[in-house]
Amino acid sequence: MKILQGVVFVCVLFAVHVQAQETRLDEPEAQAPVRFEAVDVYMDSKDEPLAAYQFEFAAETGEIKIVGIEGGEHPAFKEPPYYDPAALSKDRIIIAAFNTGKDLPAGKTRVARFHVQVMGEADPEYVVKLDVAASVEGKRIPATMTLAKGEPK
Amino acid sequence: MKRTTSGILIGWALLCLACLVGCGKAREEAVSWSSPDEKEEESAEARYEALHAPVKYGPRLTWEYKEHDEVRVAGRKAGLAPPGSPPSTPGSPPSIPGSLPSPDEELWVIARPEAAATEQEDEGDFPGSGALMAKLPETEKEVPVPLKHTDVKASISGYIATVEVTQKFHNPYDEKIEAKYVFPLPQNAAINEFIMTIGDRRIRGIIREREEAERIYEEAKRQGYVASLLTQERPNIFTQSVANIEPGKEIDVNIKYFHTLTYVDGWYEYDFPMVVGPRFNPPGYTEGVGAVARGKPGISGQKTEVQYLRPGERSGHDISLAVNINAGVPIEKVLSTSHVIAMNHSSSENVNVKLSPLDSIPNKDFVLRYKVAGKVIKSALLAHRDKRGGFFTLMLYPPDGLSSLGRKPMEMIFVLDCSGSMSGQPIAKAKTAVERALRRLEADDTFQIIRFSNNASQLGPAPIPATSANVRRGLAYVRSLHGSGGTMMIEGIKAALDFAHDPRRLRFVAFLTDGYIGNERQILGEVQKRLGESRIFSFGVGSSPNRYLLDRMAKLGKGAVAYVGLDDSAGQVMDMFFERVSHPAMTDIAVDWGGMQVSEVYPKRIRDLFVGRPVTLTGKFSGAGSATVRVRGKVGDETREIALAVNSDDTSAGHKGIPSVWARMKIADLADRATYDRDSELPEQIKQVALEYGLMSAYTAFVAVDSLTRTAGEYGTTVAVPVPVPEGVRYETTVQE
Repeated sequence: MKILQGVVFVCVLFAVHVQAQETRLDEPEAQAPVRFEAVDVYMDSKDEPLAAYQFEFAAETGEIKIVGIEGGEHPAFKEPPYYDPAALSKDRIIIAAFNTGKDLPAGKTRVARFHVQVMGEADPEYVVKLDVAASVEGKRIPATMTLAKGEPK
Repeated sequence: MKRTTSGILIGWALLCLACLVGCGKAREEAVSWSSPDEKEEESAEARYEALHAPVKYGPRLTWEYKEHDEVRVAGRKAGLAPPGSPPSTPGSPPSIPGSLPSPDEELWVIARPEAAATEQEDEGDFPGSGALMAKLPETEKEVPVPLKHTDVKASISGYIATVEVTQKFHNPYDEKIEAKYVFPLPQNAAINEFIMTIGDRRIRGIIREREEAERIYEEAKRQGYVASLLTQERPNIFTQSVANIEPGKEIDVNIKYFHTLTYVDGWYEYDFPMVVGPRFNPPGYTEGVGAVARGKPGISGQKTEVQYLRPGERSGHDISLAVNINAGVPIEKVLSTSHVIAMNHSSSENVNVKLSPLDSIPNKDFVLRYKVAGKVIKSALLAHRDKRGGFFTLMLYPPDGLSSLGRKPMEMIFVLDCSGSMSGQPIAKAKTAVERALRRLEADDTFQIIRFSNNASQLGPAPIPATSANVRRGLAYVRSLHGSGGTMMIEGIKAALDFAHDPRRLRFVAFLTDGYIGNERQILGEVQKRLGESRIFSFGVGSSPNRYLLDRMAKLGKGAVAYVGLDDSAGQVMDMFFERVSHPAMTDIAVDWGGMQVSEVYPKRIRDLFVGRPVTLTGKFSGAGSATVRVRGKVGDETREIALAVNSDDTSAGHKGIPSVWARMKIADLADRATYDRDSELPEQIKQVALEYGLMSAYTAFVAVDSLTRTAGEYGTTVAVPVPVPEGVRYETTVQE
């Protein structure tokens, strides 16, 4: 977390709204008032290797509970990221990860996946807010974030 | 596990032979200064152990891994010598069992390299290998149980341990299951990480209010998703549930926690409990922990149940354990009295310890002790800062001069648990300990002996002067005791603490028990209510005692706790107790934190400092830099002061687990209050601390759901993981059929 401490707390503010898609299994979800789904979080740091990030994930509409966090696709961020328990609520979470190794991802990469429980029929509207993305030198780097429905391999 | 190669068998044979030689010698040394009666008891105990124990490795047998992972045993002239080796040279200093080997010590290869053993362990999954063949309800197929392996990796830095536990669940049946496993962890563990692993995907669990987590898990289970849930039944008992494990599939659950080590009589101690002992619950009580036979769920009527393997059955579940000790100062000795270990030391301050694969049955607490260099350990402050502020822990040692002061006459009350779970080796240990204590009483002292099982009774109606004749009476009474019946501990508590007190004497209540009860809260409430002038010294007896109850009894009883494992010398443990109570304690302790701006220090009430027993404080602080902390207290009628120079900026004396340790201790303090204080806000306060710091508690739980792995069909049968009764405990007297 030294890298995160060494950069300005908020360098990019980028919110993405995604409309949750229909869940994978039709029959049970169609009847169930409670369902589960996955949301993938992608970060694009262009040509800059990504060494650290911190962002907030929440549902702006709809009723959800976050029930699990998975890591990213690149080995540098494969471990499930840590979350701040003090900032955790049912539908909001702040997570962060860093890697000081040499093999770091650049360009668009999935950095995390959230497993969520969705209550009710309405599709939630998710939002992600990047607090910081940083290089291995601890310098902030511009990055954009996008969300997509999580799918099994 | 099946081990068929001749190398392993030869290794076993040599190991047993070495142990017989080592044990014999060690026992000779242990009893050489004892009275004839004691020798008789020790040898009777040895005979009992030889007859009843399946395999004894002998206490403090130390293994060492060397190049190519060959398993070697350090042969020692005084302690453990290869057959046929010459006796120790007269006048040469005796080597200390468990100490690190010196360069000239002989190493004796007795077993094949680990790789060969691993290869054969794999055979254990096949029928006929000795693994438990459990019957899934409504099927005839005999298959192993759903918990395959537990792996423990601990890293000790200073006096804080970071521990990662991996439980490997699998489904050996031909239909989908939910696995449930009731297991122990240290009662002061601050559990702050929970990860479910499915293949190469790792999903971090989320801390939630317990009811909410349970609802999420149940819904995920109902809908066929792979999910896991960790709940706390007691501060040292947890339930792991894993839903929708498909046939042939594996799911790992990783748990991470921090805890402080204990420091007892010059030794740091790391403990890892491996099995929950069978608890007794008083009639009418339903909030306890039931002990039932495998495949008999629900018959105890208790909220939580542990299923036990029957005699002759064995689970395929085994355990591996590794501990890295980074003491920061040279380590003099490392030993385990409970298990066979292997060691290598990368430097004088750093030792790696590994549980021998030959001792991998999880049926007793793993106890590792190490001693660091230097005669006097200085009180030490560890600090950590993050965005939440500064946190510290302080291990406060008693002042040097206490052991030179004499004691007042004592009024000793021995309380022996004579219930069925103590039957056999545990009660033999407890009786040996009390007999040793009776012999150490002085003419001005008085004593009383109380036994309890279904009820309580005692040697006499009033304190008995410790004359030679009365001590002999006491010894005879102790020898007549045996274990059977229930554990109505509350009767023992009442009998001991309501006993008329003689104000001219210091009153010590020595409680000897395995602590196998399910109504801990009731007991602790009674201790708090009835304590008066007494000081409670609890002695946990057996291979896997209820450390939560025993630690808390001692804490509320303003005394100290000690443990008498089946491989420990009960006499030595009692000698240490007498060393402790034979000198005045430092009482009425108050701390002046000097320049440190300190808040929320736990425990709120600092217990007395006895010889050999430090106390660990933890708190929050603000500000920075050096300060002099002054600890004042009374020793007899005198006021004593200990001055400690601390530097909260010293990053070398920090640990990232300190905030979790602080939060855990705050939760424990609140929970202790809840045992006797009806304040309805206490549960809410515990929950808020646990949620803020992401910790397990009675009111929070970890849940993880894999929303991408949905299985077909009903969620299947719930299969409990049956466990063995702890070593030395008799199934017949403790488990409901």
